Amino acid sequence: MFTNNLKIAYRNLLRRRSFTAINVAGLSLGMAAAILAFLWVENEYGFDQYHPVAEQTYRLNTDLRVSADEVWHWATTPLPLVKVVQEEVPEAMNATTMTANMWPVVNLERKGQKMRCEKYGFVDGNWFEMFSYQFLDGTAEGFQQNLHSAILTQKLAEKIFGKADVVGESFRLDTLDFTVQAVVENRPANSSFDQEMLLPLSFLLSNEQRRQDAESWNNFNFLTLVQLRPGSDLAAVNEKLTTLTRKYKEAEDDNVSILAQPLSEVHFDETRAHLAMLTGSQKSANVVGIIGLVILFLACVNYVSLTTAQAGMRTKEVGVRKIIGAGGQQIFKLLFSENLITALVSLALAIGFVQLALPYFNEFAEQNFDLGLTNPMLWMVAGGTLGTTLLLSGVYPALFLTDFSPGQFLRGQNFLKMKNTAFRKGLVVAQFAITTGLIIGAIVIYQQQEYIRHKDLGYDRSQVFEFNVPYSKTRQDAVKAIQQSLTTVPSVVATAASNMSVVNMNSTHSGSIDYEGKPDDFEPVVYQASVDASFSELMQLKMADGRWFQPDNEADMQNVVLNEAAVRFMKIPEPVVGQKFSFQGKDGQVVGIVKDFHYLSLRSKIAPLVLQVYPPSNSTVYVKTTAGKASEAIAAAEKAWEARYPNMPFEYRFLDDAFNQMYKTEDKNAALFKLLAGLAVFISCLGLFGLAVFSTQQRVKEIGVRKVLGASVPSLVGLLSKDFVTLVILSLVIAAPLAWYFMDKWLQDFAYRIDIQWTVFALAGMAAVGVAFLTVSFQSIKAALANPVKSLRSE
Amino acid sequence: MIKLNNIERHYNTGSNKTWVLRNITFNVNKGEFLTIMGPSGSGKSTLMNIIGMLDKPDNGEYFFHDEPVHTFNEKRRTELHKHSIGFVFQAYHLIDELTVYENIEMPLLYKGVSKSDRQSLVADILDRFNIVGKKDLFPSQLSGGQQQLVGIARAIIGKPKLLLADEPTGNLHTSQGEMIMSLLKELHDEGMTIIQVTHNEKFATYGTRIIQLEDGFVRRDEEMRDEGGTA
Repeated sequence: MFTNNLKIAYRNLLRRRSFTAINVAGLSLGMAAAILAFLWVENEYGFDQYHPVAEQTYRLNTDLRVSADEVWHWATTPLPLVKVVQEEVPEAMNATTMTANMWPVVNLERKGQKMRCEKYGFVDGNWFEMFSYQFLDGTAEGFQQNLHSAILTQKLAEKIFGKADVVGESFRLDTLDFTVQAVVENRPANSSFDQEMLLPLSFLLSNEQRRQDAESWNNFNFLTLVQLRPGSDLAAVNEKLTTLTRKYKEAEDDNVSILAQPLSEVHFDETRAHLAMLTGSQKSANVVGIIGLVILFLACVNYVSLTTAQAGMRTKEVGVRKIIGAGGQQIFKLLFSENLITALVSLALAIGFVQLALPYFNEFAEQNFDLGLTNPMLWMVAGGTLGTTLLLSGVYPALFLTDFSPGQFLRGQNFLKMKNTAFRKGLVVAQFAITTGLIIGAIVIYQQQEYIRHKDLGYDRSQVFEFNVPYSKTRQDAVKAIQQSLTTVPSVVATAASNMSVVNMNSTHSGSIDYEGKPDDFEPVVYQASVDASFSELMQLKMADGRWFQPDNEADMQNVVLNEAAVRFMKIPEPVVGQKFSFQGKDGQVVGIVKDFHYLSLRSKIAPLVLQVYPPSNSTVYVKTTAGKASEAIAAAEKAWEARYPNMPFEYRFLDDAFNQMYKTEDKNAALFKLLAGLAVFISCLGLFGLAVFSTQQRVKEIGVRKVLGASVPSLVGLLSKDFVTLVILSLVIAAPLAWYFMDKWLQDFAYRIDIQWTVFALAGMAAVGVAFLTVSFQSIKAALANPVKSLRSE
Repeated sequence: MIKLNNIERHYNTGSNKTWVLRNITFNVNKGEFLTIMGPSGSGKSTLMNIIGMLDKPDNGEYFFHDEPVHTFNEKRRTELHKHSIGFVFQAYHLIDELTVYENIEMPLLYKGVSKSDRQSLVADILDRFNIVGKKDLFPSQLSGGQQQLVGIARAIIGKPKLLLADEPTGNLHTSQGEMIMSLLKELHDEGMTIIQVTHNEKFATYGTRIIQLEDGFVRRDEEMRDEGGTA
């Protein structure tokens, strides 16, 4: 019976080739998109769960209360805590530590080949006991004893040496030679710890100054991870940790708390994002999951509406089978096997699509999913997708056809004259409402992106590139020397320096500010930056009052320039310029007020900013080039760099790029969204096309009669397209308010945003109706042009 | 075998009742070959559907082998017709996606007959109807007469007690029609109870009894004196 069903189902599908093709195309696309989305979600939710003791592992976090209503949340703790945990907290079975932010990057060198490495960390001896690493070559044994040893991932080993079997070989790290102790497999996509290189903590601590810093209870620079005994009382552990920390810290205040957080919750904790760990957004993961479901839903809707639409053609078969003795169940099985075959074929195609799309997906998502056909994850997700699809699209059409009594068939009724036209219309409306909503969303996102890109920021970032001078005791001189050597270069208009890039001066300060008339209980929190005398002119900042810092003016070392927001916020008494102003221990005065400019992401409002000149901290050098001479200016800067730092690669970026980099996540999400909207439009149109083909077939006779009676081709096309276009307009009416609501919510994240104009809806509506009309009219025109004699003769 | 007592059926058209069958009362004995005749719209097909248990009368009683079918729910009716009645249709109603062999085999599948039994039963009937060579063809590759042969083969393979043929020759040329009719007669001679609907006076005479329907009433009910058809 089963093979029989399959055989018949196969023949049926083959006979209705075009419908089958439309079904399979839509379903497989939808499934492929869903598989990728679900993989992503699965990966995000399954972070770090592959470690054998993951369930018992906790990260120790610090909460530091800095004022009555402000608590700082850190993922790090003081280094000595890791020892104290093991010795004084009985619930702890094991503990380990990592630190990564000693230097933001290190420079690696092998046979004159220079490269940078940002993903590295220092770990202690317990690290490999608690976390799972697959050693390809070498072991972790003796790692801490050999100070100059390194454990590399296969990827980094290949990058440095060009091969992976490099245990025992050495490379230069900044100024020291390190030996490769072991090579491990590349970090899996769901690992929070994505370090490419691990170095022994003992090396870091071998420097006396660094050891003293690290071992202070006042420096919170180390990730501490503990393995607790199963069934430990977390509240009791937290209390013990907090008490111990306060005791050793010898602090009278009780503003420090230590909290153990399960490893499974660490990945989504964005408030405690830490350089050494990959943090993810649960919101994004959920949105991606919903997106996957929506796409799958759209594809399934196609399937359902097409299958039920064709039910008319199945009337006879189902009727005859029932008369001959088939029970409802047997009919159901037969029809379900058709759906099963379609779904399986689509799934096979979808897996093919996924394999093809994976490299692009990885690049886009910055992941390294590896989905060989032997990967159980692929099959789990594919199985889930198949199940969902069958549930959504397999059962209903089969039930629908099963529930039909043969008497109705013999009386000449068929499915189409029964209940389901309203249902099918409902599906089309639902589908197009989603699609139109996505189109509206895509337009709003595009407009906001354009708005950000072209908004006047209050400074001029065009033709400016920047680079960072690494920290050293002589940095101040280096910065000066590099600037000096560029002054004579014709392609360079000007240079300037500051302590961080102007596109995102995200550093706040509070506690040391004082000025005439400041209330005693007012402790303003302000943004701060150090600049130099040429900064204003290079960036084309505008002064609202007073003046900018002057070159070689010793007094300006004590003075500050405020932005307008700072003046308003701190209510500096008039006249503002000339007021005494104490900042970070320097007593000077306000020499000028600079007009507000966007030194933060446009997500935030322009906040109060205090600018000062503090040359030792200035590390970012800006070079403004003459138009069209950028490459010459870059060459000159590189030459100046190499004179100073012959062992380090010169890396620069244009402010335009730095600016765009800041919106990278947004741009990515936007790109994803547009892709999704496009896919939705395509899938929906596929379904609409199928329905149009079908409905036109149904009306062949009607068209013939009308034509014989003198109807014109345009009037027939109008007649045939009208129904569908009406449905699409209805979906626009449903989609518009919903889309407006969600997009308005999305825009709230931006302090500077567009207003959603009615033209957006008009545009989206026109697009949806236009696409729907084109899709449908292709069929309508074909039908309207056909010779009526043919269609009538066949009756 | 069949006992119809005061069977009535109507359709609602707007607020009016349109009567299709009025006051139908007659019996059919085992081994009879009954022909139902009448103009279009006289209720022949509705009557056939009621006898075939595909439809329910609004009033009246229907006994099949003394079982009160009119009291049965749809499931019991289906069960009964599945095992007792074979159907032959004017438009053959073969399933286009199935081969001749598979079409004939289908009722056996739904009855749960084992594979080896199915094979021998289908082989027997293909042989008897002389269509062994056509067993792997699809309906669209056959002539109308051949399709109806397959239709009859499918109807009788499950050894029904009653064969219902609704205008079995309606779509056929005369010669093919005659071939089908003589086949039905042969089945009757072997003891099969048959009820057919036809417009063809000549084919009506193949039966043993004729009932004339008109506007839903039985107008005439007579035994054929002359056994067997005219040549």
